[in-house]
Amino acid sequence: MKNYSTFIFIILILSLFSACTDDSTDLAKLKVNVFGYSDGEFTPTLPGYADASKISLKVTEPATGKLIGESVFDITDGSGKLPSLNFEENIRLDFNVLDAGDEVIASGATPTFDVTPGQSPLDFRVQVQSVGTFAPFGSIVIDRETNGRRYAQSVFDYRGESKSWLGRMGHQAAILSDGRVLVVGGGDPAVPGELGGSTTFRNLYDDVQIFDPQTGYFSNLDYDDATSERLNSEKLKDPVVFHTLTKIGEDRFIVTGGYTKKVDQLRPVNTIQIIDLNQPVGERVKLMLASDGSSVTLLRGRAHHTASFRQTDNKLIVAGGVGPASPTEALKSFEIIDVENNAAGEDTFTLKFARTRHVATVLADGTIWLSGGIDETNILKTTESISGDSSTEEGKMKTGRFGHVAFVPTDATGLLAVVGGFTDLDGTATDSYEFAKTGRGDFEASADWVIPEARGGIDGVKLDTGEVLIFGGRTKGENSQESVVRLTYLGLSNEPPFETRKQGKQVDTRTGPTVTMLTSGRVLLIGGSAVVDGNSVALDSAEVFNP
Amino acid sequence: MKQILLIMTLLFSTVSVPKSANAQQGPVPKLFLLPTQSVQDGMSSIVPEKIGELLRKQIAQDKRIEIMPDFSSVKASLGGDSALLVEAEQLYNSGIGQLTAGNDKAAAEAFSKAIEIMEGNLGETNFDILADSIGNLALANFNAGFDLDARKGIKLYAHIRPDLVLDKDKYPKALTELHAKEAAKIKKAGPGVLTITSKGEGIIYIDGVEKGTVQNSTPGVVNDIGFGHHYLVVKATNGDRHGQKIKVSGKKKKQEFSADLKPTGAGVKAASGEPEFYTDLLNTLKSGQFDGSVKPYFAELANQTGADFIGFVLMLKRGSDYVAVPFVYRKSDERLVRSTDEIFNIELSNLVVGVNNLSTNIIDSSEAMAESAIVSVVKLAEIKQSVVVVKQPADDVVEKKDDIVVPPPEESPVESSNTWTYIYIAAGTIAAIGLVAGGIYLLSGDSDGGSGEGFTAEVSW
Repeated sequence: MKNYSTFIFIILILSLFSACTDDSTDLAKLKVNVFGYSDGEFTPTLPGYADASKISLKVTEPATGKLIGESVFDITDGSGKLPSLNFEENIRLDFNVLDAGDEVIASGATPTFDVTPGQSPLDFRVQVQSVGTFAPFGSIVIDRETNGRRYAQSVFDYRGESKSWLGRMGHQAAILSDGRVLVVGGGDPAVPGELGGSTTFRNLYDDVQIFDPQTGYFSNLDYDDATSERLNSEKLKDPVVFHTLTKIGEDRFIVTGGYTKKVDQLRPVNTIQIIDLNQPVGERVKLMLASDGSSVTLLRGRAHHTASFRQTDNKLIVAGGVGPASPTEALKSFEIIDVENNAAGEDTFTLKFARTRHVATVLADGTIWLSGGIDETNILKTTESISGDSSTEEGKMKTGRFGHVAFVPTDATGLLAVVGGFTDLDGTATDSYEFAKTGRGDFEASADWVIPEARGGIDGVKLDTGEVLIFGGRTKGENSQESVVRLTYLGLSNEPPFETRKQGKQVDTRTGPTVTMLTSGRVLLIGGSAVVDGNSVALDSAEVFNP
Repeated sequence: MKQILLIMTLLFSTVSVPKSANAQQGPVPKLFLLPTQSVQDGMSSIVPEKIGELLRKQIAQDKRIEIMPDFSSVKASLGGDSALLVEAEQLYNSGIGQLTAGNDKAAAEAFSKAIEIMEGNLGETNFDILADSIGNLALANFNAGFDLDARKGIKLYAHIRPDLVLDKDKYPKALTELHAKEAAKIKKAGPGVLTITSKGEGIIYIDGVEKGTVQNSTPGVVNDIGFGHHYLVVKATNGDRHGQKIKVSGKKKKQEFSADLKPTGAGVKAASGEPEFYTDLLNTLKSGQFDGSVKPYFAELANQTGADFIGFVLMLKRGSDYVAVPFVYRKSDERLVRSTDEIFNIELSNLVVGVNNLSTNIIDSSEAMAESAIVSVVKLAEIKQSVVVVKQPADDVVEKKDDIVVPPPEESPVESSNTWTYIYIAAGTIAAIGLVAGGIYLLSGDSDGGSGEGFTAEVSW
């Protein structure tokens, strides 16, 4: 009995001890400082918006829309606090500037982050800009003249770089799990090329850079902060342009093909490289190796092709593109790369139509729908779907196109929409859009199914709301489009099915930037060509759009 | 004794419940039996006719299969149409009913199937029903929310019926406007120039409307068809047909189409009143030599009659005996098998037994359709030379074994000791009280970012 009493006493003491433990190590804080961009310049604090009345702070889980906490403050308070927010993962703080009618006139947001008990305090800088506008992406730099800190537009990482200019087009970008952005390869064009041919490049890049929206800094993966030198291992085997970058796992990507420069000529390569940021430094960029240590390559060198990851069976489908024979030889083949076992196929598979500069859309069931493109001289109306190891001809578009966007406007119906694109090799673009479903015949179009202007060479992203933003593009005889077209799908029974409106104006009107949806809900544009002081220049900077 | 008899009667009546009362009955397959023939007229026709007649009666008694009437009777019961087109009409009627009842998805399915059958038998299809099915399918799809399919369907309806004005009470505004818009586009673009050629003479129909004639040396020209999808049918004077779905460019563009006229069930009737393809089939089988080229005839016959199986017996003489060689064709997979031969003596003294066996063999074969019995080339000559049998590649047969359910192991009884139970309960209760007390203490603490329950966000602008 005495033993039992001792046991019970110990339990009581332990319970009380846990309640009384000093909890200062569980302190978790999120600190956010706001800066802005307005009237063509950065401001270290919130810009003075004429109609601004209040500030709304909201912490949400963007993936689900769950509200963690919110509060509204008077704009003159200068600061605000949201206490007692639950520990959560993948959350974001939105900073909204409201007018007297509670309309959001400007906003900024942090990237998504996790907060757990015992975590060190988090610090964010949030860039605020007017809704529906573009702004340079800001980062803090040391002013060489004053040694003071100031905000400047984010540019690529030049540390340890021998080249004097890192502006580029034909590069690729992808979002990482922590909200940073991976940027791979690309080139600095000497002369913008013909649409059907190849551009002449001054430089091609083999670098792998990571953009951090928290700081606005680009970092070259190959740069060692400790030694301030290049490692010469964390880069591509060959500098490439018009290659592909495809996500195959968490922070794991595969790079296929592209043009590289050999003997002053652009030649498509057949290399397959893995970028795996989960690996230790020095091992993060490697050629794909088979189990016997030999490198795995594509069966054909390709550029201007597509590479789509099929999650259903962990296979990468590499389709079409131009081959080694000539810059206009469109390939009529596709290859299947076994990503799980690091193996390429023994033979290529046949597409229904040779195509390059087409668009590949992965449907929810793993089917890959290829639309449009060009073959030697024709602009293709044809589409086909790849399922398993075979390709099936699908419906024809009313208008042949390339340099368009293709997406599924809603998840439920499996409908494919194709929008814009070039309709000939002289650069004439279309403003039309069309719809189709797999196995259901040709595309449907109508005279009034159009976006505000004809655009080819466009890119798009889908917002959490389901709306699609179309960036850039141009048509023959006109300048590149500086605005965004926002498409809201209303359903096929509405006429027209998309509500369209234009928003914003790019700071530098870019052709061929990468367009990436950030976890902050903003859209990042990196690189691309622009006309600066009358000269065509490949940009090395980043710009952000606030939708 | 009486009691024993009564008990036995009761027992017997309880035990001998007819199979049909307990067995679950599925649909009974239909067998169309061709007339029994002698190979190359090698015997008096009375023998195969007699055997065929008795065979028909014997099969009719077996409930495992339903024997269909002869060809003329079947066709008469179908009103002269093929069974397939009758089915299409039934589906169309069913679709109308479903649409009226508001069962749009079911209606869409019925119309789709009807259209599929009719498009597969254009030579004999009723185009008013086909066109109406297309319009109703578009409506059903629209009601069911399948916008894209509805749009495509109503446009096709406009292609084949551009002068039609849709009933606004029946069709929603979106569809009537789309139909009108498409029809206006067709008219504005103007018709194409279609040249149709064929071997033989025939009448040209487009979308069920007569448009002219075609002859061997003289192509038919049609110049009033607008752009879009249309149905071209050429009906030859001998009953042969050609049907196909065509895409017309319109806008005065010239296009050529070639009609490949084929025999159908509507062909010129032989003296017997039966269509040519049927008599051709009988003649081929009668030759005793045939191969896979007869299968389309079997398929057509099955389509015409609605049969699941086609059975036939060929007879030949061997010495002084008659040998009956039975075959069965299955529509679903076009498999042709040879059943077990039956021998009749010259006196036909074993006629009844032989016919019984023949009947059983045919029905057993239709049930089994064994791979080992498949034939694709038949040369019935002397029995000694045997039938040349070329087997089809074996289908993969997957035996499905029932899952063996392994019951979970029985839980072994657990010894319980009351003393320890009380101790555990007591200790647990005290620990719980302690934790709750601690928790209350925590909750009542300072919550300014330091309470350990969450975090604080501080923003400065």
